[in-house]
Formats: sequence, C-alpha cells, structure tokens
Amino acid sequence: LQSVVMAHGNTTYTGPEPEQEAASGFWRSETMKLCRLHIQREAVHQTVHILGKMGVAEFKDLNYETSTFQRQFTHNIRSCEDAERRLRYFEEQLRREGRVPNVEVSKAHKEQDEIDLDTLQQQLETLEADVKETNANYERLLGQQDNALEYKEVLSQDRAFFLVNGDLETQLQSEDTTTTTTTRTGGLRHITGVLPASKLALFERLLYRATRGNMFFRATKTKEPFKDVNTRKALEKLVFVVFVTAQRAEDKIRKICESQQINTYPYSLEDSNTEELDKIREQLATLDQTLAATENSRNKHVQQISDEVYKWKREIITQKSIFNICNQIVYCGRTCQAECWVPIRGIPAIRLGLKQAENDCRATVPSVLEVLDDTKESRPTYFRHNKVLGTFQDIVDAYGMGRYKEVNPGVLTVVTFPFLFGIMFGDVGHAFIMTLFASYLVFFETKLSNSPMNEILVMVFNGRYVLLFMGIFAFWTGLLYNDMFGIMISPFGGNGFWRFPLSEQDVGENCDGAFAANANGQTACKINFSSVYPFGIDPQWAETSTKLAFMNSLKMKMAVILGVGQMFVGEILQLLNHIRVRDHKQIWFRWLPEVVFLLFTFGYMDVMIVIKWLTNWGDEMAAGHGPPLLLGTMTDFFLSMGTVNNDAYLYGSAELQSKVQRVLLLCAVLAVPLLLIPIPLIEYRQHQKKLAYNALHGTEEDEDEEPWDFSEILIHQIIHTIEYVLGCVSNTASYLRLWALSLAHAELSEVFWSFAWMLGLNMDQGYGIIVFFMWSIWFAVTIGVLLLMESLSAFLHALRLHWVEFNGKFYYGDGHKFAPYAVKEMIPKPFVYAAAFQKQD
Amino acid sequence: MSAEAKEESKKEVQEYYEAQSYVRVGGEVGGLAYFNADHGYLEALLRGFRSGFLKEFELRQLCQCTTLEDVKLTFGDTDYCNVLNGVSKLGPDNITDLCWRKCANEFLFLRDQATGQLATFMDFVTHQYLIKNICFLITGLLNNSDPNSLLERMNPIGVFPGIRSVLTFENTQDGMVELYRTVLIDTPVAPYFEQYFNTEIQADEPYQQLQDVYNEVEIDIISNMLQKLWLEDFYYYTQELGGETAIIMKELLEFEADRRAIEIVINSFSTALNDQFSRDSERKALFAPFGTLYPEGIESFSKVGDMASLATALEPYAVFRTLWQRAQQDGISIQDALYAYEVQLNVLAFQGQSHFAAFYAYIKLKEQEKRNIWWITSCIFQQRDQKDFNRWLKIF
Repeated sequence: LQSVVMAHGNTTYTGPEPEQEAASGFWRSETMKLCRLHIQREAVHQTVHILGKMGVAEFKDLNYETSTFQRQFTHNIRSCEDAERRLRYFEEQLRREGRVPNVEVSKAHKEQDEIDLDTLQQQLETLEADVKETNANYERLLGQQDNALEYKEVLSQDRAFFLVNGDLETQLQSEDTTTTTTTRTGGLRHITGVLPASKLALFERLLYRATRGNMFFRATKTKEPFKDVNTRKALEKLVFVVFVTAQRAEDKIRKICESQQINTYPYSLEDSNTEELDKIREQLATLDQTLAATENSRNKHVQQISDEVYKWKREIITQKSIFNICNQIVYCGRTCQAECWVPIRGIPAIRLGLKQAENDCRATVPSVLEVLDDTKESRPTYFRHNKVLGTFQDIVDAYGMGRYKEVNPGVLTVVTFPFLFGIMFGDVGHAFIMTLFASYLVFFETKLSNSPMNEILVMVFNGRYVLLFMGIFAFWTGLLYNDMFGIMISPFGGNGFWRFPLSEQDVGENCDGAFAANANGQTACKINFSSVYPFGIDPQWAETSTKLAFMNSLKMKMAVILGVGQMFVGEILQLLNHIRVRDHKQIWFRWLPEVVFLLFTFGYMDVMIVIKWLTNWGDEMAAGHGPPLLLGTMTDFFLSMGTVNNDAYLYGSAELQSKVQRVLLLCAVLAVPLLLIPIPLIEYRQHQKKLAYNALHGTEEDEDEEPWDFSEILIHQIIHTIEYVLGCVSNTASYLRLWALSLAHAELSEVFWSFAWMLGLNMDQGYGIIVFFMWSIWFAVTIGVLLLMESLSAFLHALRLHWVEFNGKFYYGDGHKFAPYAVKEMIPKPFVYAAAFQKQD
Repeated sequence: MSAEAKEESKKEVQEYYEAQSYVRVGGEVGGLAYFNADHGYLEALLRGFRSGFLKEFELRQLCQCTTLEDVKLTFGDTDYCNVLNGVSKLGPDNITDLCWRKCANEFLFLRDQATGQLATFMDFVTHQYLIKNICFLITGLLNNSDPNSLLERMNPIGVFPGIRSVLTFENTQDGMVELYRTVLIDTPVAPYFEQYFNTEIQADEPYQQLQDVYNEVEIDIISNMLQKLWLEDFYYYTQELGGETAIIMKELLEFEADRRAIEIVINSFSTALNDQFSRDSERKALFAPFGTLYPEGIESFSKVGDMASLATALEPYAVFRTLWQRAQQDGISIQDALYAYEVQLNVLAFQGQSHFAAFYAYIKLKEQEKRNIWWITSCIFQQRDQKDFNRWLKIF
C-alpha cells in the first residue's frame, strides 16, 4: 500500500504509522476498519475514481433497500451501457473485417489524457451513425453489384441454354389443352433469373406444384463465383430459365420468385441482348468505383475504431464502475456518506486520496474520514501477499476463507505443502525435470503472462511457484531416498555401512569375519562400524532382496511421525486462536483434552518408533533381548491395558513400560469426557447468567442473535467429540498415504526402468535401433505417467492432507474475503482483449 | 444386387433401428421405465431451465418500474439479462418478442437434441405454432401488411423452411386450395388442411365449391378448425404413448379442449357464429371431441347465446363452477381464471418427473410468462394505474 501511495500521490504521507496489530498481514489477516467518508457531493465522482485506482477500499452498499432503477446514478449507468452497446457494435465491425484492435497504440495514451465522458459519448454516437450509414451504403451498393452481376450472368449465358426443342412447345401446349378447355396462343413464355443453389430443390418443387408439372425448367451453374452479400462467403448460384405457356402460370411463378427472394431478369429470346450487356458492364464499372470509395471511407472508420476501441472500452468500464459505487452511497443535501472497509495500513492512503480529490474538484467542504470502531459486523479477511505466497494462499482459500484475525494456515502451507508432495514424489530425476520446467515458467513469467495461453496451461502457469517449490522439495526428498528415475545412485561411492560379499572367499578376505548378518538368505557383513552413509539411504540396499521391506518400514514410520507432527502443529495453532480471544473455556476443555488424547496415544507411538530406531539392537540381541513388533505393542496398548510381554519390551524393562502405558492410556481415556461434558455446562451457566442480567437491567435480547438452544449445543459437542476421537485414528492412518504414494512412485519408476529401458538394452545387438525405440518409450512413459499423472495424484493427496487432516484441527474458515473496489481488475488486459478477436477467425 | 436395391435395404435397416428406438420391450414409450435412459439428459436440461422463469419478487420488481428502460435494468438480474442488449427503442411488443425468442431458442435446442418419440412429441408441440403462423401470415396478407414485417413477427417455434412461400397466397377463388397444393402440402401440418378441406367440401355440398374470397373472421375460423384437428391428433398420439405421459397429457389436453371450447363460445357472442343456425353446425364443429365437457356439455352449448346461459351450461361441472365463482368474486374475466387454473395444472405437470408432458408444460408456462411480460410492459408503457398491473400470474 505504501508503494501505491508513492506511485499515486504527488504528496507523500509523512505522518506517524497508524496503530497495528503484531503479525498482521499474513500470519493473521490485516486489521480492518470500517470507515465512513463524508464527501462533498461534487467531489464524489473524483474521490471514487481515485480510490478505485488505488484499490484499497471495499465499499458497502448503503442503499441495499432501494431497487436498482431508483438509485441516483442509474441514468449514468444506462448511458454507459449505451456506450458499451456501441462499443460492441464497433467490435463487431472489427471482427467482420478480421481486424485485431491495436492495443499498443492505445497504451501510449495511458491514463494522462482523461476523456470527458460526455464528449466520449457524443463522439461514439456520431461515429456509430457514420459507420451505420457507410455500412448501409456499402451493403446497398453490394446488393446492387450482386444484382448487376446476376443479370450479367443471365445475359452472358450461351444462346443454347435458352433454346428448347421445337416439340416442347407443342408438348406443353397439348398438355395445357387437356387441362383447360380454352386454347391459348402466343407461344412460350419464359422467366429467367438467378437463385442460390441451396434453394433449387424447394423452388423446383414449388414450380412443379404451382403449374401442375406444366412447365420446363433448366438451371446451370454461374460462370463467375458469387459471394453472399451479408457474410461475404462463397455462395453457389444457378442461372435458371422456366418455360410456361399460360400468362397465369407466369404470374404465379413470378410471385413464387418474389416470396422466395429469387431475382428474375428480363431476357429477350429475339434480340442478341448485347445492348443490355453493354449497359450492365457500364453499370458494374461505375459500381466498382463507388464501392471503392465507400470501402475507403469504411476503412478509415475501421482504422479509427481499431486504434481507439481499447481506450474507449477502458474508459467506459471505469466510468460504469464508478457510477455503480456512487449508487451505493447515501446522499443528503450537499454532502454524502460512504462506508467502506479499509485495512488499517490503507487509511493514510485514503486520506491522501480524499485530499487530492478535494483539490481536483476545488471542493469547499473538506472530505472527512471517520473510523467507526464499534461496528458489530463481521470484518472481511485480507492478507497481504506477493505472487509466490498468493498461490499457496489460494490453496487454503479454496477450502474456506479464514475468519477475521484467525491464524492463517497459508503460512505453514508454503513449506508443508511442497514437503508432503516431495515425500510422495521423491525422485531426483523426476524432480529435476519438474524444477526445470517450473523455473522456465518463473524466469519467463513476464513474457509468458503477456501471451495468450490455453486453459490448462494457464492453470499450470498460475501455479508456477507451487510447482517450483514442489520440484525443489521433491528433489530434496529424492536425495534422501537416493532415487533417480527409480534406481539408486551412489553419490558418495559404494563404501557403505554394509557389504555384500560376492563369494565365500570374499567373506573371508574382506569381512574380517567381524559380523555376518543373515537377512533373508543374504549374507552381509558390516565392514565399517564407525561411519554411516554420508547422506540419504545407503545405495547398497539397492541390490538386496530386502530393499522393499526396509523402505516400507522406513517410509511408513516416517509418514506416521510426520502426520502426528503436523496434526500437533495444527493443535498449537488452535491454541493460538483461543489465546487471541482469551477463550479459557476452549483452552482447558477443548484444546487440552484434544492434545492429551493425541499425544498420549499416537504421540507415544511416535516416541516408540524413534526409540526403536535409536536402540542398538545388535548389542541388545547379544544380551538376549530382541526388537519387539510395534504393531503388537500398540494393539496391546489399546486393547489389553498394561500388558507388555517380558521379552517384548522396548525400553527400560517390561514393568516400567507397562506402568507408563497404563498412565498414558488412562489419561487419554479421561480426556474424552473432559472434552465432552464441561463446555455445554459452562455455556448453559453463562446463558443463565445473561438471562438474569437481562431480567435485572431490563435489556432485551439482541434480535440478531440466534435463539439459544441447549440441545443443539450438546449435540454439537457430542458430534465434535466423536469426530475428534475417531479422527485421531483415521487421520493418523490417512497419513499413511504418504508412504503408499511414495512406494507406488518408486515401484513404478523401477518397473518402467527395467521393463522398458533395460529390456531394450538387453535385446539390442549393438545396432542401437531397439535402444532408440525402447528409450523413447521409457521417456514418454516417464513424462506421461510419472511426471504428469503421478505428480497430479501426489498433489491431490497433499491437498487433502492439508484440507482435511491439518486444517480440520483448527481452521474455522467461515470468513469473507476483502474485495476492494479496484478499477484495474475490471479492465481486460490488452493481450486478452486482442486475443478475443483472433479467436473469431 | 443393384444400387437401387442396396439403397432400399439400407433404408429398411435404418427404419428398423429407428423403430427399435421408439418401441421398448417391457415398458410403454411414455412410461417411467426407460425414460431416464433415453431422455434423461434432456430432462436434466429442462430442470435447469426452470430457474430461468421470473420469480415472484422479480415480477413484483418489474411492476415497480416506471419506464421501459427500468424494465431493461430489472432484467439485468434475471435470466433475460442479455435479451434486450443492443435494442435502442423499447416497446412492449419488442420486449415480449425478444423474451419469447429466448424461450423459443431454448425449446428448439431441446427439440434438436431430442430423439425417438420425444422428438415426435416435441414436433407435435411446434405444429400448433406452425398453424398459428400460417394463419397469421394469411390474415396479414388480407390486411395488406408488409410481408417482411409479417415474417419477422412470426413465432420462431412454428417456422418451417419454406414458410416464405405462404406469401404467394392470393385471396381469390380457390386461393386457399392452391396454397395448400403448392406450399402447405410440404409442411407437417398438411394432414390437418386436407382434413379441413374434405369436411368443408362435404358440408357445403350443395354449392359444390369453396368460398370465393376470405375475410379475417373466416380465416380465424379456419385457424380454430385446424387447431382443433391438431389438438385431436395430439391427444390421440399422447394416449398411444401410454405411461405417465398419457395420464398427465390427458389431463392437460382435456382441459385445453374445455378451455378452448369456452373461449370459442365467448368469442362467438357478437359474431355470426352465435346465430341460432350456425351454433349447431359451424360453431359446434370447432369443439374437440374429448374433454370433460364432451359430449353433454358441448351439446348444451347449442343453447348458449350469452354469458348467463354459459354459466348455466357450466354449472354441472365442479371445476368450472368454482372457477366461474372465483372469477366473479375477484372481478376478473373467466378467461383469466381459466389461465390461472391452466398454470396450476402445468406447474404440477412440470414438477412431475420422467414423462414427456413436462416439455409441453414448459412451453405452456413460458407462454404464460410471455403474457405476464406483455401485460406488465404494456401497463408501464401506457402509464396505467398500479392496480391494473395485477393481471400477471405467478408461475413458480
């Protein structure tokens, strides 16, 4: 907003910073104030315009009780709509000419030269009249030309076309005599004309019926191609001639021609028609000249429209929006009142704007900004963010707009979202390609955002920062998993923790017999006791048959730890929300039992996982104490309280672990009634107190408030409790999708690698042809399935984990978004505007 | 096999499959059983169009308007928001016309998407408008109106490609028969004209020829006659469809027949049709041979010569008795009361599911909406008193 002020005002605000709440802006939404503006009536338009350019205030509709057409500025809006209609007409002209409006020229005008609306209106009106007249002229001339051309076609037909066999006459005559009693003489009558080919069948049928078949019809294609007068598209036309004998039939046919809009032309069978032909040629020549002149003036109009239409459009849209806002303002006497929501940081900017508008209009009454602090209305939620954070915020907003001043999950989402995605998509190779693509979008964003794109590309482009972050995080987790296109790499050499001897002899030579573990029939020996693999998972696992079992165990546990961790963070955010409004009841009777329940059950499980990882089981096993199955331990924890088998304890001793588990489970179970019972009781007491207070002081209950109903509160609390307790189990399980997708991704990559690429390598005899094809297949599948489909599914699952599992722990999401009146947002971007014209072709 | 025979067999196959899609085993065509499989998509569209009707508060808002420009503004918040764009001169006629054009486009869109019997059903609905259009053109020609403006004012639902040729009609001896022979025979309503000519010629047997020249009233009678024939045809067709469609269409069309009969009687009061001699022949011929009033009520209409006797004739029928009383109480015309009842029936039909009648009800309700818009806009146009506005009927 400061930058807005700098850019906009000639004077800069130098006063003290206004009061602000800590962490306002992104962690919590901006502090919003309801401001009442008192403006002199004459300055309203200018004020609204300036505020609209800044885009800092959301105006409230103070006239919501009045219907649209009873408001002050409705006639102005109407005239704007009229102008819009004219603009649409102009745009249509451009489309017809296949022209793209020149948005570049209009840009040069910029906002410096403000156009007066009335002048613009008049200008548009005159131009419209001019264009209409020219068009009408042009069309009339085209019609004339068309007719002349048709006539020329008729005249220039071969003589043979109009000649008939001698006996036709007698044939028609004789038929005629059979139907009518009177015999007519005078020979054949003929009608010549031109008709569009599409009407041929209908016309012929009508002729046949009208004359009862007593006619002779002949049609042939025109020599020159014809164009439709209106659409200027190619149109096939036919020259025809009809012979009939009776006058009445001729009249009838002429009438049919008239009704079907088929032009007929005189053609003399006796003359050679050269005179007419010359005449028509002359006429065509003059028509061509006139047409050229008209076209010239038409082009001039179109050129003017093309140059200025964007500028006009911008102006009209701006003005219309200003009047719309003006319609939301209350007028009384010479001043008026507007109410708007403004972020507290924007108030100085608004003050400046008011001042400037006052100066611009030379208003005698200074505009006043009054901050209304005691409003009971819910305030809009507004986050300041940039293009990077904005996309992540959109992910959160899609779930629900945050309540005013509620902790914004968007902050953490910036990191957790791509991280969870990375866990599911971890692969150095795939992530590298993704990062590369996203970087391309980011580096060339200025260029790309100014060029037209299709819908799907726009979606990807808008999410480019999310994509970039996702790529980077997936790269990181790929390093951790030590996965590249599904195979393990050895970035730090093969000297890992384990060594798998190739033969018995090898065991003797390289293992120094220190330790040989039997893992599923594989003999491995630990060759280096003092160091572990420097980073990520030891690539030695790649060659073992236990790789999958090992990775599964690792990823599954990791998923659960991260899940409980994220849910716990969610609980902390809930605490922050309660602390902000000092809601002790919620802190002690909602937050506390919830945290206790979560941490004492699944939190404990996480602790056990870590303990198990940290324990040196080699030493323990030597002492006769093997590692316990955590699954069994957890089942016993819940189902048979305090049961720990003597040889299956994890830490301390079986007795100690049993005691700890007893205490934890008891606490967790006690947390449930604590969550269920106190809150409804407290609310009941509070309500009773309030009733007593009201009775004592004689104050009526607020009408806005919903009627108080104890059963509703109770039911709500019961639902919440059940949902939370069951949710803890199901949400923790839900985080297992991290493991499942990661597993699927790794396995798919491996399968594609070995069955497309490796298979090809083996089959190839050194010619390289099969290698070429198999590599292509592998790469296509990598892009199509792994990069596109898999990334989409991982994205959706990350989305779900944030919306349901994380946000569900604390996020109300029932606020409404701050929608400031900003002119800039309403005007179509130049290239978008121009693109709409290109599409029509 | 010769090319001709091949063509023939191909056609046969095509016809067979078309017939297959018409007739289903184990369920009537107009019934519930296969409706969703065959026409579910169209019904879904139709349900969507329901929200396009003007709501009650929107109609009230329209009544608040003081100028037609206000109407345009109020339309801005409704489904009709774009229809008045680009119209510089507003009048009740062109507003109504443009609104109706929008509804017509929706209906024709449905018609184009429809297949099987539903397509035939919807074609039947359009035929009524086609008859009206043809008669409208002929009447216009009798009055020497501008042919092009006539063509523009036609109802877009009842247009067929060659309708321009109707303009060749000449008001001369056997002009009508000539028109039928050259033009109308191509139209789907040709059978009704044929039937009309056949009955007409029989009736006027002693004269052995048709009238020389027509006047407006006679064209009106022809129009009514044709519509009666159409209604009859449509009625028997819907009854053949069976299922829900037949049940609901029976109710709707029988009421339509009754309503038409009453309207014809009322409209005939000041014309030659009310003549003692024409009551039994010409007027009676205009009544459809079904409906609640048929046959006893129709018989008793021959004694009806004014409003009072009409009331007596309608006395035995509960529905019409109550409608008559309501009309008297509320001070509205009996026609308006009938329209109100018709809207009720159509709303019920529209709200039922899985039958063809909803499509018919839709266009009938849209017609009422058209009447509403016309009434309100012309009241505004003529600056009439607010209390006059109340002739519109709420639809949903």
